[in-house]
Amino acid sequence: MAGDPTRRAVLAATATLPLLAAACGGVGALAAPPKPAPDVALLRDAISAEELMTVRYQAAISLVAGQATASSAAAAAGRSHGTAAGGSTDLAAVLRSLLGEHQEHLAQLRSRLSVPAGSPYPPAQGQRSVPGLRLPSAPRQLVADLAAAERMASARLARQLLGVSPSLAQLLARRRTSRSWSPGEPDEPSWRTRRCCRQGSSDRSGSRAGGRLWLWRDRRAPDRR
Amino acid sequence: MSRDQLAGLLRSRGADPAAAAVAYRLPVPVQTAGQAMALAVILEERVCAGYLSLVAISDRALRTLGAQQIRQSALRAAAWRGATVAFPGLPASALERRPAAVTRGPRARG
Repeated sequence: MAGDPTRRAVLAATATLPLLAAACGGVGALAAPPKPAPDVALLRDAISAEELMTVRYQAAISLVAGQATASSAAAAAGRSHGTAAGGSTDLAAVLRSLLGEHQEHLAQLRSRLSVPAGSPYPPAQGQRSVPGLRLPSAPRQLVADLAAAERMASARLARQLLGVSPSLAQLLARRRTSRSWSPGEPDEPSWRTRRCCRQGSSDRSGSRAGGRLWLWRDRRAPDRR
Repeated sequence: MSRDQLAGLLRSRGADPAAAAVAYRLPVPVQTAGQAMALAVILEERVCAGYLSLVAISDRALRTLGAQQIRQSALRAAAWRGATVAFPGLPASALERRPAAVTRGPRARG
């Protein structure tokens, strides 16, 4: 009988030890948490992709705005006609519009992700910069670079929306559509060309409107000629 | 996608497509070029919203078709409108964001 209290003590300790461990370290002390559902993983991937795109657009806007400022200064000093400054300003305005749409997409995506307290998968804090991100300085190459990034994102979204829930599929389908009107999209006629024309850009050389039309003319990429 | 193509698709799946009406009541008066363009935008947005319902279906072929047609109608709407929107085919009132993404709970005390 002297052994019984000892056995009972061991059994009691064995039963309570996991509870103590959990109380000290949370549920994770007992076992690894389950992996997120496929929809959640895809949502996180979509959020990361959208954050990367906003960073890219912000960098492009900074670059173009800087060019516009430099061109304006040169025009004020009489070293240029100012056409380039007008074109850069228009490009920056268009890029800001598209950036706003990406930010709205990002907000909607984030609103769909609920992260429980203590989750080992915390929500993304948002990217402020992308190390090594290098953008072309020439406006046309910059637009082509952004358009290529949008097309890649659109193709990825087209694959992703096939295997997700209906509501997430609808959100991805709308995001994919927004990818289609990236600046200088070579597959679709540029509606911005029409707008420039409606605004009376009859002067096709030297004027501010002519500069806009030069930038947004529906040109085919070299490999499509 | 043309109306005839869409009707053929519906019949192949056993549905009976609605016949075209003799006339339609326009949602906005059309007396100027600007009003005609506004009507075009409204019609394309409604087409976009219609195909958005198709995307919610689990059938992969229909979901892909819906996504492709949403893109086409949204591009046409953007061309007529002269501007893009973040969420084509959906009114702003439908985009009610949920509250914060991180749920706060009582922290375990160790």
